[in-house]
Amino acid sequence: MCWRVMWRPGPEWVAKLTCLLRLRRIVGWALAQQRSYGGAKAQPTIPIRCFLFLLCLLSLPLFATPSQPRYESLLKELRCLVCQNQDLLESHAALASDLKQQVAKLMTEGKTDEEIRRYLVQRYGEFILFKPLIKPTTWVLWFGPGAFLLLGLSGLSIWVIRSR
Amino acid sequence: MVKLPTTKKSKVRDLIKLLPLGFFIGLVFFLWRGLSLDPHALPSSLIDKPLPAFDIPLLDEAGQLKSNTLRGKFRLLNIWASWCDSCTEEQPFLMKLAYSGIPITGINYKDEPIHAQTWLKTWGNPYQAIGVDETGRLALELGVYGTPETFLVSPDGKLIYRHAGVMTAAIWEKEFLPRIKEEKR
Repeated sequence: MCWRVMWRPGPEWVAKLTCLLRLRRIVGWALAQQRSYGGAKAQPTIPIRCFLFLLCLLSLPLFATPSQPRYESLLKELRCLVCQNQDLLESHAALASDLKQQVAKLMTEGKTDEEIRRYLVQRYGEFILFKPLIKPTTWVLWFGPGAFLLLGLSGLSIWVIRSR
Repeated sequence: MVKLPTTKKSKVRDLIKLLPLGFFIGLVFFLWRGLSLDPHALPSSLIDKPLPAFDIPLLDEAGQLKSNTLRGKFRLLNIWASWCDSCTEEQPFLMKLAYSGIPITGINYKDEPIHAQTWLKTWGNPYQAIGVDETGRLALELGVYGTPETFLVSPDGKLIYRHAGVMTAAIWEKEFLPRIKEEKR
């Protein structure tokens, strides 16, 4: 698959940065070659211009191709609907492999993680996300623990102050 | 004047003592309700939304099954496969429904056409038309997560209800019939 070609260890932005740095070194080398032939003020010749243009074209997939880490971290957030406590990355169910293919396809089409999540939620419902969305019906779920902690702490502090 | 606040305070203290009991009762209620909930019963997110547009080949003959032709009547959209055992289980009831005049459209999900045709010969064919979804692409659009699944489609092409699992007379009467009656009003 496409994302294997661009795969580098580490997070995605590190991979893209190293690719870009390599690209910059090649361009620098090409310009240095040019200068050594025609002096410091020389304009790039046509072959070198073509070479640079080709490099720019080749670097385009750098921004469009999804990388392995991105693919895996997105799949880890998605629930397999057949074996419900497994994520899509681990699951080997037939439906999971269909969904994985679809996610890979949407990534190569240049869709963002958010767009892919929305695509899946539209079809399979919010249940497919392991992390529930933050909205009025899930406020208790998201903020309840914090609220209870505050309640307990304030109760405790009142009790401590009074017993002094 | 001086004594009133203290009586109020003691009342408040009594209430505070009851708080943990209240929390406990609330917790027991939610846990008890959780016992009778089925985590596998997922509501479809397409309910009350139009049927996704599709154009897939027919199983028996040349031609296409198009989503915009599934209109004018209440109709069932049944996703099935010959390799799916529970599909065989619901087949007799689907035959009964078809005889009583309910139009049923089949979508053959990730199946070999030859296997599907033999299956239809063995168990009977309740479908008015059968579309072939060989890759499961349409099933993905419909949010199908396991066969059999049965959608109720309204005359104006909206998805009203989805039942995942074997279709039975009890489910038909409890979930499908009331919805048809309600929509007709």
